[in-house]
Amino acid sequence: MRNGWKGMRWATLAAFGAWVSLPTVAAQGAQSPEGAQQFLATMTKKVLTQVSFVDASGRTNYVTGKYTGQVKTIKGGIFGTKETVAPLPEQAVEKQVADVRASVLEAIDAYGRPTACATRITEVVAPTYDETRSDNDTDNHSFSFKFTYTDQQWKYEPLTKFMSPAQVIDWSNVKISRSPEGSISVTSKGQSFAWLHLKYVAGDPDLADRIEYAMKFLAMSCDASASTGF
Amino acid sequence: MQEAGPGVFRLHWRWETPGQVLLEEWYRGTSDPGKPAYVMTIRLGPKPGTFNLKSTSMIGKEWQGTLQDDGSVSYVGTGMLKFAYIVRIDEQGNFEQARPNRPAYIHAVPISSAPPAAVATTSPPSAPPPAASMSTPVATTAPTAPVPSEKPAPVVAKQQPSPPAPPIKAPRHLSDADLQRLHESVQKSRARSIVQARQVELQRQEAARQAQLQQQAWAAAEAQRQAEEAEADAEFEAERARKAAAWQQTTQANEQALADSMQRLRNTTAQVQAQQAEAQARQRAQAATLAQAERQRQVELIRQANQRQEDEAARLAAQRQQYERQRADAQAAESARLQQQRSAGNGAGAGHASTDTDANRCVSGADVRENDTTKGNTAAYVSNGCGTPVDVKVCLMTESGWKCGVTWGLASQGSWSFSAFRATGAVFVDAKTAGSSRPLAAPN
Repeated sequence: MRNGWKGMRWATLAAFGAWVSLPTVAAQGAQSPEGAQQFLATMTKKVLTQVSFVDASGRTNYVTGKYTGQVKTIKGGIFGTKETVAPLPEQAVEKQVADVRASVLEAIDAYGRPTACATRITEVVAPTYDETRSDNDTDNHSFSFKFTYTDQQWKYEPLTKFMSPAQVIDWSNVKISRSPEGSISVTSKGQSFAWLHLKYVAGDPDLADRIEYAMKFLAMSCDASASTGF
Repeated sequence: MQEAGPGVFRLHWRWETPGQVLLEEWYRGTSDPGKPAYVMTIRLGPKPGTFNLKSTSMIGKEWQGTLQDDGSVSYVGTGMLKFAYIVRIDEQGNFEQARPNRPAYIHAVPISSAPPAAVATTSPPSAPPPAASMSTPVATTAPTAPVPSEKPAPVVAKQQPSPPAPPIKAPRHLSDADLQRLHESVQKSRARSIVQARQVELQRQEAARQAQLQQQAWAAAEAQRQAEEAEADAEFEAERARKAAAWQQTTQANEQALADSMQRLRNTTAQVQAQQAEAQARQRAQAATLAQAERQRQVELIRQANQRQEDEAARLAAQRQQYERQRADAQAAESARLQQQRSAGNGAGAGHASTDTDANRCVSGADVRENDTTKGNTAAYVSNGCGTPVDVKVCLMTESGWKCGVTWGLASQGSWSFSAFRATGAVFVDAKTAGSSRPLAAPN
């Protein structure tokens, strides 16, 4: 993988004296949108990169699912034992997955065409958010006993919900912000979601500078109106 | 095979994800032409040559499709309702759908212009998937692994269909001025971030300081509260001790007073008992004196009566002697006369008569009093004021009737008593001169 940041050639060093004063920028060569894309894709492997898919109702990473379960009861006594299994009523459940991370970003637009002005969120990962629970209960008496085993499951939609169709950041229309904690976020309209938020939790201010610079580089390069000078 | 009727359904295929997800849209000809009435989502199956079809009709029912050797695709529904059918492209390029062992009832003529479309003659198509030989890329696409759906494994995005795609946006070349603005923007952003972070830190420190002050205030208030509580406890304890001491003192005083009172009561009781004993002794002495005086008075009365009786007896004796003398004289005269008479022939006999003195007159009345030594026993005392011995009978009325006792030959000036239990007070006394033949009387 080629790091575009490091591979840049800085031709007009004298014209940007203040710019080269940044240690992270001083060693740069030519800067290009492709390099910025590559840099941002590489950063997903190095820093925490969270993604939020916000639907029209304002719900973030919203998934629906189904609650199921069963209760197994074993009753015993001096006349033997009896085992019964009863299902629990199914219920519709929902949740908002708190931690969804982008693992693969590609410079591909919503139509599958390579372009430096779009970033497709190709792959995401998240900790397991399906839930299971098992409970046991024992009720013993002098001449009888009862064991109750309760198994419950909350199973939600898979992460493919956020990948079909693929969500793409259109760098011609984005908003970039930087938090006091040093994380850099880019917000774009999604395809099947109202908004996409891609956030790099850099930690290091210099690295945050580079990420922010790459984002703004892409935004400025892809903003068609920017070239009008207004 | 039925002929396709115009204006019923139009089929339109488009890629949702190129090479992976194909959408088959069924448009109703007479309704909104821009909105499909049904959409079949066709995905690659887990094995090469297999498909998964999900229809928006029939509540999202799914079919599993298998590519056949002749190029057709055989679909079998999942679940209890199989609804098996086969789709194919016939020799004329028409879309054809048929139930197994039944004639085909749908055929369609492909339209060369994009997007591909077909016309269906039936009402809601259950699931007409594309045949493998169609121009759509479903069959021609090299089989790829199915989209992973398990969590937390990475999930690969699916690309939207390309047509109709707008032109690709190309980035422009940034000038040095642009780069300068970018640099300044980043620097400003960093500075702003640092300022904001500093402000956040200051706010955090201020909040921490406020929290610490609040904590100190709370601690001071708590200490003051504890001190006040301790003071209150001490005051309460002192008050309690004082009250306890006062109570103890009062208790001791009360106990002492009670003891004194009890002692006084005992003394009073003893004094009363002594006074009662003394009074009883005095009463007994007085009673004894009175009884003695009464007895002496009675003895004197008896003696006087006896004296009078003796005087009377002496007078009577003198009279009797006189009478006897007279009678003797008379007897003598008589005797002489009788003698004379006997001498004259017949003599005559003489009579004799005796009378007991009334002993009841010289026997004292019964003195009844409680027996000093035996509780519940009553004794009646009598004294013989006669000059001769007497026989005396005394009867006491008891709860069970009269109880009587007799003494024989009670000497002159002698006393005798008869006692009985549960006497009621009534007394009967009878006396006679000793040796008299008169029987003693009874109370009944």
